[in-house]
Amino acid sequence: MSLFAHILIPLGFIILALLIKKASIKRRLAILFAAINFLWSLTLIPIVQFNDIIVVQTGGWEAPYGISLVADKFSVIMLVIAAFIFFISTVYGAQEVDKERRKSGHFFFSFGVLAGVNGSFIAGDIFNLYVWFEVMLMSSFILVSLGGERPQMEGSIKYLILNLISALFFVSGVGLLYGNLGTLNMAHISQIIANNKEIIPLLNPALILMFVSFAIKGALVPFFFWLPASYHTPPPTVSAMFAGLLTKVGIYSLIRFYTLYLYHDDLFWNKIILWLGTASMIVGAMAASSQIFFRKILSFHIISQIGYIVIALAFFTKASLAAAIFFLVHNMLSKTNAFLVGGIIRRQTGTLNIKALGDIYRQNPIWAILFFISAFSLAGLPPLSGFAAKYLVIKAGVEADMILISMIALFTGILTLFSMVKIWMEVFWKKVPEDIAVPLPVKKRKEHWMLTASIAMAVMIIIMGVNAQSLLNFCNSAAHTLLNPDIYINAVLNQ
Amino acid sequence: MANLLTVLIASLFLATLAIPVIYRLRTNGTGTFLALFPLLIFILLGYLLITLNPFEAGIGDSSIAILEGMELSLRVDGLSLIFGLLISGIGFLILLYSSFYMANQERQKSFYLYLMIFMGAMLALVFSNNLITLFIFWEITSVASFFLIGYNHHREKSRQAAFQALIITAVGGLALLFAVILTGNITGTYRISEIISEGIHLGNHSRYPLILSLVIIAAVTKSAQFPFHFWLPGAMQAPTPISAYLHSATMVNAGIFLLLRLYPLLGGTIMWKYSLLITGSITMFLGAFSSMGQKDLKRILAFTTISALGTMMLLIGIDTVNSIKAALVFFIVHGLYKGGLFMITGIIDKSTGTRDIYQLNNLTKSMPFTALFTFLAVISMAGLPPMLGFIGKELIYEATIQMPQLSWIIVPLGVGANIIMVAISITVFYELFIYQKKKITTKLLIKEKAFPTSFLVGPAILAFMGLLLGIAPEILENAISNSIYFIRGQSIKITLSLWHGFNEVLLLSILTIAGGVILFLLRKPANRFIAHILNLFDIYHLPSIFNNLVNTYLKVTSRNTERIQHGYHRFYLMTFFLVTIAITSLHLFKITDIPFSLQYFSPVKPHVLLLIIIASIAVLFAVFTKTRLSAILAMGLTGYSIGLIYLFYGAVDLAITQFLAETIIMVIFVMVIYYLPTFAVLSTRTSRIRDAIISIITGLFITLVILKAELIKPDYRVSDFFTENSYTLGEGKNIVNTILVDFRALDTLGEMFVITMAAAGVFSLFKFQIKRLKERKKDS
Repeated sequence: MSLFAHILIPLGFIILALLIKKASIKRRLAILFAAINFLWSLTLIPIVQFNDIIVVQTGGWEAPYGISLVADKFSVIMLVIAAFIFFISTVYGAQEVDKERRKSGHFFFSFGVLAGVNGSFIAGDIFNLYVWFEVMLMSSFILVSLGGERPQMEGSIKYLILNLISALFFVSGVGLLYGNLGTLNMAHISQIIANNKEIIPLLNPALILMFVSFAIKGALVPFFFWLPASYHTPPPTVSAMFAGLLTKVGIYSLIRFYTLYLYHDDLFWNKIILWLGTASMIVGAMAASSQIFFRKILSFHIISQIGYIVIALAFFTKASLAAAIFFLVHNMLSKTNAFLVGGIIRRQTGTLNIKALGDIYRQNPIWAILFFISAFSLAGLPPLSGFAAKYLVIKAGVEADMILISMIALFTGILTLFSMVKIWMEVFWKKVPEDIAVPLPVKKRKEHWMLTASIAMAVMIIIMGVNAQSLLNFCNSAAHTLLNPDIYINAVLNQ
Repeated sequence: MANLLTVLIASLFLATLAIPVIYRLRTNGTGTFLALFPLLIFILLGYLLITLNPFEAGIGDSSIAILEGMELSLRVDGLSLIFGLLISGIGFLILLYSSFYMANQERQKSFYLYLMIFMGAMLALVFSNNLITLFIFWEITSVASFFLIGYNHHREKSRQAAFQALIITAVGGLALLFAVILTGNITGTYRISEIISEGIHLGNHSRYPLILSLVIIAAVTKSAQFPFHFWLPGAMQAPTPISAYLHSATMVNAGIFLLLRLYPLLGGTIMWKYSLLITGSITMFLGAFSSMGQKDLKRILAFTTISALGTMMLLIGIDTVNSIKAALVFFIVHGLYKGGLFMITGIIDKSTGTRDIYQLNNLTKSMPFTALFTFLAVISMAGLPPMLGFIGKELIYEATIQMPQLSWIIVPLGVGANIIMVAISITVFYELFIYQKKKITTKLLIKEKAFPTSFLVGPAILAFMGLLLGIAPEILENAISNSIYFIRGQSIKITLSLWHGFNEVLLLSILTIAGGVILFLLRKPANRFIAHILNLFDIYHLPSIFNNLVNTYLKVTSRNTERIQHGYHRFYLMTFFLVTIAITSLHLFKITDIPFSLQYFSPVKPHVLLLIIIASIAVLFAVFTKTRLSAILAMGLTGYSIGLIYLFYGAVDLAITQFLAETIIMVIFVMVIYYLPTFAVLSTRTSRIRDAIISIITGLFITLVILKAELIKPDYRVSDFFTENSYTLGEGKNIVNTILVDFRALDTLGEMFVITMAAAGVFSLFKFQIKRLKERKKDS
């Protein structure tokens, strides 16, 4: 039951939103439901700490016949952080998103995304996972295009088509796998593979299709094109939420599949993800440093950060998996907050072109501090969360004897620093350029909820950085479960 | 006591919280208030120095840690005390000095915030007993100095200088982090005290060259060694108190500290010695050389700092007890006179409005006290008795002379650099205070008398400390013995004295001073000569090279980013398919051993074959037809054929769905076809051929993959369970329905989400569009 709530809460809001017309009530309801979702996700923590894994067999049909909902510690971390980010972006969006969009269902579709994200994190069945991907894709596509501004349409079409390819690959993979194994239950598949190790090479075509699908969703090189094409077009609330949630679902699934299936054929898979991860790291960071739009810099940079998580997965030790999860959490928080600050700046200045902005540091030191915390956390400055994340990945790499890759990962940090300092100097330090005409805001608008949301996020980043050990302990035990798929299999199949 | 020190250092960080309050109460007293904190630390450290046992170190552990193994732990030994005393002492004076220097300026709060964080981080760095925390504070000093250097951030130059300093020191920082992680991986601990007490030395480890290179990169970037020295002259964009602090006791000296700290772990090998000797001697000479011929007092001092840092590197590289001793003493000497001289520069600048030594005239009368302090600082810099500078220089000469093998080159270089130092010292003092320039009259903006004591006390104390320590150098003996014990592991009682007797070292000193005086007299031709040489190297102007590098990098990446993120859908899709095929072929090449055999497959029925032929022809027709309508109809035909194939294999529900979907798609297409622009062929022949090849390859691969997939069949399908139980347990006669609404009801729920979203989405998008059209009408 406890897991069902994560589907029922967004469903509840969606139904209510269809019934209620008034935008102001919808707004309050949205915040309420987002808060309930977050609080509910917190209740899962003690359960997994005690029980390792929560399994719900829907409809009472025993696995593998029905659909299992499964949450191990890794899922729970993702659920909690996603719920937190969703809550924050709902509070922020309640003020930032314009009334037109709120009336046209901004929150409605946001909760659609939430349903998809929640569902993906707890799906224990590959077809069910596909369904949640679809939910997420449909809702997010509408969110990107809602408003119908020209750049939005351009971005959203790319977003839709390239992600549909991902869906196509995934469902083909599911079909092939089902044809081969006769089951869709994730634990059951893992068990069958573990019992007949020789069949994994024959399953690889299906797994490759699914892997590519995750790589597209997760925006790995060379599958990332949709991300920088679309993330900078919708309202900042939407960008921020997407930055925190969407690609992470792809990466979550990749980690899940790697630890359940792909690791059996390490020889083949390890190199692929290792090199794609490394390439993402470098390409993303380089592309980011060449951009001049606030959100584009951050968007390209997401690709780079995904690379870190994937190489940590490829090192495939307990420490590295824990590092990957830690990094994932750090990235979700820091990246989202960087986007949130961007939103505040855009609201007051009317632009996010870093060449046209300037002197924010003097005018609004609070925004500057908030941006500093997020950006320098991304750049890995101690004692913010990014430092511990980077340190853990590099350390795991050194322990796994991957000196070269670790070194590349570390020194790519310079490029990140470069991009962040570039934003800092252009947006916060330099004088407002006089020769570039900036569309001036008509009047100063309220921003207190936006600020509150962003401050809450920044506080989380600091807490996570300073008190990294407690999160790491949880990540370690999550990694332990991931490395021993038998725990997962036995829990789901009730053996 | 070490725990008290932890508290005091933490108080430096916490004091920043009080800044807004103090600032509101007494705007210009903020610096004075904050100065109390470093003063307390200085007193505590002084006490620790007096009670220091020559061969013992105090450790203060705490349980505060970001992650396991990163415990905040302090180590009080000779080395950290020497550095700590200078950092806190000069820090105290700098804060006093700043309260007047920064008075009535905007944003003092930020200034003090950065400065306090910087000071705290610097102290924590030198007292760290853990390599990771050392790195953490190292990194914080880099970032804090970025903010300090870029303090006047409306100026392009300041931003550039801050940026260069940050990027260069951050490269070093990352190198240090990697070295530390590698070390931790080998030794199993990050604790410096454990490394020292267990006598761990990595010299024979296979990763030693890598680790050492990384540490040296860290040290040379931070300590502004050639070829990374250029950020330091740039850093004088910072307010003068900051320059004084960065140069004298903090920041740039951290690299020197790091090498001394890691000596037990890495030091003493051939690689260590030679790399430090080479960078050190180049930097020493280059710094001294470039400082001649400069006009701006701050710039002159910046280059002499580079030279001094090179000297310290060189001394560490010589690697004898004497040379380490010389390095430590020279660090103190340099810190004292450099801090003083920078503060004096600030005083002169405040008072006269310029720092150009050739624009200043006969300041003795108007600034007698400043002249006295300058005199003391300058003779310490020149290495004359009775200042500590004299002892420092004697020790350096002693160390270089005693050096085996290479003294024939190092000694002349050292003497040469020192001759320039003497000449510079004389020049500076002469131009500022003695020489009567006829054409130039210096206007005084503020008289010396008008300055508060707190503004002048800094250089005064530093100058007299140089004198005091020169006369009574015994004060330092304990700390230096202790340092050498923990650096080189030798328990030697070190003695320091002003007078060494007549020996070759004294001879060299006399030679140096004579040379310096001669160079001073010949300074005009010498300056011209140096300016000429520097001009020759102007194309290698490092800050510009750095900027060009950055710009080139930006150009290349933005071009390549455009190339990758080009915006063309078809190429994105092409990439997706081709890469997927590439990965699949990697796999197919791997399992060639499994034979293909037709016996795995069921026989093809003639009516199915017919349908396949129809579908294929329809597809080809759709590809080649010239009108949209016929293409759509052909695609529909394909869809219906596939639906029929489903039907023949008994999937009734699937077939119905397929028929319905095809019909609706066709209907919608026919409805919108009217609104589309006329059909035109825009692609070239080559691009069509390329697309055809890619499509065919993709199709072939999918076929291959599906054929291969037929090689394994499950023993048992979940669907068998559904067949058996849909009526008995699911109580439904239609098995598909039972699956949809019972066995896998959650999927259906999810699909309902999708449909709801899609429907609402279409509605919302339409509504938006309509509203916009209406608004447009209103506008026109």
